[in-house]
Amino acid sequence: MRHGTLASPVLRRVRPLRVGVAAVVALATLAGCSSLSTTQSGAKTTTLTIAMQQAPPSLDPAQANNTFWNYFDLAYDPLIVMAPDGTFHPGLATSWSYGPNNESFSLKLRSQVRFSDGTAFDAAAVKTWINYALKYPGGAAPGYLGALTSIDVTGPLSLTMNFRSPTPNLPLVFSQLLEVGEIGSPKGITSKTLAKGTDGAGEYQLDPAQTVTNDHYTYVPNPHYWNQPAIQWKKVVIKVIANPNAALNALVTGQVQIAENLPITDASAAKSAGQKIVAPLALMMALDLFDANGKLVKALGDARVRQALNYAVDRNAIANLLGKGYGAPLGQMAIKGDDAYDPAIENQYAYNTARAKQLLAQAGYPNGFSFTALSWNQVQQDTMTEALAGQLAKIGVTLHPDIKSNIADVTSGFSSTNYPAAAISWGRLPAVFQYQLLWGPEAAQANPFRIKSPELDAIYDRLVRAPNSQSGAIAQEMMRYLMQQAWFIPVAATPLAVFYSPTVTNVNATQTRIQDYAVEVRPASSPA
Amino acid sequence: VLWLIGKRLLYSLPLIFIVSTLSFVLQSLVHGDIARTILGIRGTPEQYRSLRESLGLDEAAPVRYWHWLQGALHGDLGTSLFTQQSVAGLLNSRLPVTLSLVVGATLASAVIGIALGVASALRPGSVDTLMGGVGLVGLATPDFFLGLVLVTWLAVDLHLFPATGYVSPQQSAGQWLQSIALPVTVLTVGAVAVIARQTRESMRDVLERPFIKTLRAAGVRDRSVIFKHALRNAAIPVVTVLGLTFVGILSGTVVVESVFSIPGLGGTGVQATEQHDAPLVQGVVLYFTVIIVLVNLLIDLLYGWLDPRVRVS
Repeated sequence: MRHGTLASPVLRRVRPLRVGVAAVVALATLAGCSSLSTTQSGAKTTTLTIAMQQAPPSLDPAQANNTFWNYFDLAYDPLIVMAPDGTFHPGLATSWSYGPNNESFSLKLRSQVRFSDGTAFDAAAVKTWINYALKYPGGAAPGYLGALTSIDVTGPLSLTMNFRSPTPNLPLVFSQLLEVGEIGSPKGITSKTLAKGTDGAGEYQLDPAQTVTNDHYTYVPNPHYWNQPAIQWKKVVIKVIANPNAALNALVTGQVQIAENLPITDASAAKSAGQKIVAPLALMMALDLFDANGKLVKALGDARVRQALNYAVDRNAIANLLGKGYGAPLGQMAIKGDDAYDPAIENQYAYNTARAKQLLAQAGYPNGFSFTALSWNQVQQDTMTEALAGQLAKIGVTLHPDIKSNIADVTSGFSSTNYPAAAISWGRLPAVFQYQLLWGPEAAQANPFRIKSPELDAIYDRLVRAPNSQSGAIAQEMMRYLMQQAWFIPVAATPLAVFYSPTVTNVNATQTRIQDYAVEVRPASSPA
Repeated sequence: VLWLIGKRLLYSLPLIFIVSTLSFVLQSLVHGDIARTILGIRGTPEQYRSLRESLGLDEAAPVRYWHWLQGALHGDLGTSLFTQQSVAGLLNSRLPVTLSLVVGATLASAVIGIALGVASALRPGSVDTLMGGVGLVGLATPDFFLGLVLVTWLAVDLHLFPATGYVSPQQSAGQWLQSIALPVTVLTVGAVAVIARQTRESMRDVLERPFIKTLRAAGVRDRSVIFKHALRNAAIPVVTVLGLTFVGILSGTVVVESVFSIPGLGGTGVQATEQHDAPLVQGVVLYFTVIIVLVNLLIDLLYGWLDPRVRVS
């Protein structure tokens, strides 16, 4: 009899065990319920928790790697603050100006400012810092300030930087966006404490006692901060959550208030759970046609062929595929809001396979040709490359995607001259920097064949010397030339999405400033 | 016993050496290095060379291994190439987290698995069938999938548990229990099935033996026959499986810690491997190996406690 079985002594002995297990689970649940609600209610008024997918290799802001912006922004005020509308405002510098030909740059600094170690912030400290950042292995400063020849300290709170060649866009360089102006303390440099701690003139400082490297980083108010009323939070925690799904769950359950750079594919799930999203277009998804001189693939040396490839791309289709409704077709190597963006050429290569075939035939490739493109299985590069391969096949061109899973393979592939083309997901920058980093002859990685054009160089030369009022027109001229030469196949602009809780506000990632700035974030109930 | 422990630990030294060597060789075969990871696409060839040199990556792999081994023999596991933290310090802070999960899951799976196995052996009807079905599902369900289901249901929908993270017991015992509840459940499900199945088979075998019939004929109470005599005799193969289960659960933490974003050894190992952080990977492998060696030693001691013949031999 089954009933007899259930009444057996053995199972009667098991029952207390079941009850015990159930009790433990219930205890855990109850304990959890009470602690979770405490945390949630506390977070609304005292603690801001931000989920980042990665921890930085070092906390030293000299690396100026804006992949890790929150770790630095909290503890290091920049010399110049970039507002959400893209305009520049005083930070640790109260005013700034360019000298003739953009070959010098003068700054006046804020008085009564101290680093978190208590030492004074002044012109000498800025000079020490910039010289240190220029020597930092792998740091970004040399890329932006490579032409710097000297820094003259003209007063306790004023200095002038001198450059051997015109160096525009320094307000952007010294803003929180590019981080070179986030100044660390000279004392931190000499004591070599910046890699594992913070020592800046920012609102917060790292609390090592509440920090576990690679897991969570706790920032507490800096007692020496020059503008104490601006400090909003008693504690800001950056929680490292590599798994995007886990980060979304943490947001939905109130463990974090902001989750940075989650996949846009999670947008609908987040929205339906009552979360908010800002998703400015931030990345240019494109194919970089390295081999524009035709060394590896002769056909790519002909501008008509490169133009044909551009005509063969249905950008709307790929933008929808990649952006899930938050993306946009990309008709040039700039996004609306960038200085080089020219609305007149956005549809220059509107989808037209007949025109593409005609150009291929004129160039002597009526039956097409084949080439290989390096790609990466991250940031949707693989999806874009495969979609491109499908579309180019319609004009007889065979694109072989060589998709790597390891970033090291991708970077070494870029610096080799083994690939005629590569997929890129490139960030937005002024045209001067794009020239230096992406399409100019000295671009370290993205122009491995060192393709050079005297016309392009001449435009660049005018651009770097131009005053701010004229630079936009020249940057657009550069873009028109570049797209005429078709060194790239721009495909789609995709967003960097920030998901955040309705309990906070001022999560200002915008079309003109694509990264949010943690010190601006406020509780939703508080005035902005 | 101390002699046995000493002998076993001595025998395990070659194993640890072989595992660490293999780990280093396998890492050397993986293309790419941490200098590329740190610099990213922005780094120039000069910066890359300079960083490799400063990290000691320009030395030949055998030389690097020799340096690591020398340090390890002196108790110095080096520093993480990525964060420049002491590897031993980093892993010591991660160890209690992983042990919380593994010990918790092993204990839970042992208690539940043995209870189910005994029940199933005694009543081979519906309990047995149910256990077989549940066990099959438990074994067939991947940890990451079960983790996602539990998080969605119990954390996101019902708000009963945190979706991610770990709280140390020193910080709050209640929150600690809550933070490990879901990961431990995920790690336990598959293990329960294995232990229950082994317990059932062993119990059935022992219950068929003549001494059990003799005990019952002598009027010994059923409870005493089952728990004092049958279960103890059936326990040795179960303990063996328990040891293997522990190892399985330990390796399961690699996935589970990532799903729940828990700062343990497994998640650290995954991250270090992705970053090509060789000293940290070596450290994680060493910690895992030592844990497994110690668990095997514990299993051997348990054999002796359960079976006097083992003690004699």
